[in-house]
Amino acid sequence: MNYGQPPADNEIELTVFGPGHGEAIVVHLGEGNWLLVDSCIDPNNNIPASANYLDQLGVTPNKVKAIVASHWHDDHVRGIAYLANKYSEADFFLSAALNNDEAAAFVAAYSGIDAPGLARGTSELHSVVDQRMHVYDALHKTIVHELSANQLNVRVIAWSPTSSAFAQSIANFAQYLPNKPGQVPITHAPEPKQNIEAVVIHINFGEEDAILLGSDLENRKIGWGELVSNVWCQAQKKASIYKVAHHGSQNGDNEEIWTTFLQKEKIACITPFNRSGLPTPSDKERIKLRATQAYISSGASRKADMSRDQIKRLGDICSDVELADSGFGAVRLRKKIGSQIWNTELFGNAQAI
Amino acid sequence: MGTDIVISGANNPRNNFGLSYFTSSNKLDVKEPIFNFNVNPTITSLGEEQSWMSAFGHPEVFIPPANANTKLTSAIYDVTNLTFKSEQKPIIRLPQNVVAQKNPINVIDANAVPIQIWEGCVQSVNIEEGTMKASLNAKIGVIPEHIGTIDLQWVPDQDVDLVKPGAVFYLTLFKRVKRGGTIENSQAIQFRRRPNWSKNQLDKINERADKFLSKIKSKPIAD
Repeated sequence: MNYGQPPADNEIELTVFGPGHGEAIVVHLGEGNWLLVDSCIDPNNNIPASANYLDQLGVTPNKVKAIVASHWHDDHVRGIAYLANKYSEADFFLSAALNNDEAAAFVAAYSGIDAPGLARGTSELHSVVDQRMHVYDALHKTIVHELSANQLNVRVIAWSPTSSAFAQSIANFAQYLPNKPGQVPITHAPEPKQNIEAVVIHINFGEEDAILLGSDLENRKIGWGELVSNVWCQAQKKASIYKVAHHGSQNGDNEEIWTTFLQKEKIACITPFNRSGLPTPSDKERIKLRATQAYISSGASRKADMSRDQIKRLGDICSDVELADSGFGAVRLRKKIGSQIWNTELFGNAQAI
Repeated sequence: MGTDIVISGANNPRNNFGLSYFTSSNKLDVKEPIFNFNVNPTITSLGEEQSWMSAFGHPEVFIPPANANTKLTSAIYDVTNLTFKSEQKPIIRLPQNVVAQKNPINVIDANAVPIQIWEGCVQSVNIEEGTMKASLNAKIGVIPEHIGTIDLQWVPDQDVDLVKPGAVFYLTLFKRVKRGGTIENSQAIQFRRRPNWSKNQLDKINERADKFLSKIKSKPIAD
């Protein structure tokens, strides 16, 4: 995949990658400075999509200023340890929900060292923290990065998790803590449920524009429900681009996100999560109605890819067999400072909705 | 002519049955016995209170409860009905020319050739529909990850409590060469179990957790 030329210093950019299982985001903050959020693997070369992209554009590692792991689910952190190592000068952020005894024990238990079969994204995060001198936690209003570029004060701020989500997540982690010998063993990997600890990122380009990255935050009382009623969030600059939360699902959506946090003209970017069939056709319709333009990073056919004999045999006991991934793709949006128009480019299997 | 065998669904305290022992379909055609148990021709009938499978040394395996209006000798039996309790003692007619065999058919033996092993991970469970959605990764050959829906009835009884999102299982598809050279398809699902953490592991987990926490710092908060 040829990504062409890097953005000009006075261009801001959001690129969203996704193969159908996982997502990665890169943001050009201006004047060659970059932010990375989450990570997925590019199946064309098996290296993290963000790293491959920045390498192609000729970005030197020291220009990556911050990396955010929005939450621990494996579809958001595959390859993020590679990023943390490659961009060693960048500050690394993880959800503040992981900064407590229960969460630390949770990550340590599911680090893949003792029970490889039960490890998920936790092993990537454990590896990141293990290799670094320190990492930072991202909580409501944490300043992830701040710089002056193109005469704009650019601020990257975490909107979540909130304090209440932090408290609730402790209980979620606690139920997966290792049992003592003699007690009932935990036989399954932690279930990625109740996504209230995900880090939502707001990027404010001063008077110019803003981008909102919804991560996988769900619309619960704790979650989007809390953010849309938060006075501080309401006062932030409205975004013209929204990376739709939780793969476009109904339970990651809240109408007030679109009316309170986004401009009238807005572009929506979605990454699919095919394991759960997200976004559904009705999700796409809903998002189309709410956004001026909408794009999905990956939308190719998911017809089963194996021999006819294999399909027939598997079909004896397994129905609706389809590919987990729907083809790798990327949606790139670039805008020159001072312009009102975002230029959209689609790569690979990315599509307009 | 087949042999009449009396079975008693009502005797089964759980009205449960070992679906893992079935071979290819969740519709049990009693005219074509697809059980792993072949019937010893010397057995002509069982006592009224004796369950069919227990006569063959498999007390944990039961024939599904019968619908009172169903003639099992000709009907396709819907084994998805787990709730109905029958008081009837239906009759299954089985062919005479088969030989007793105790081992369940899903045990891989020298005559079984695996054609694919899928490592599955449960993504979600739909109790109402009795299905689980799972990701499937082939262990033989290069096949990309797939997703599929599997009826929970294929899950062996002993693994039912393991069916949760995040649980890992192996779905083995194999061909079996039967006596006489006939080839039949079969499959087995087995969920992965693991021992509990040992004290040594727990100590190391605590060490790693302390180290993890000690490395997390905080940045300033916005006004």
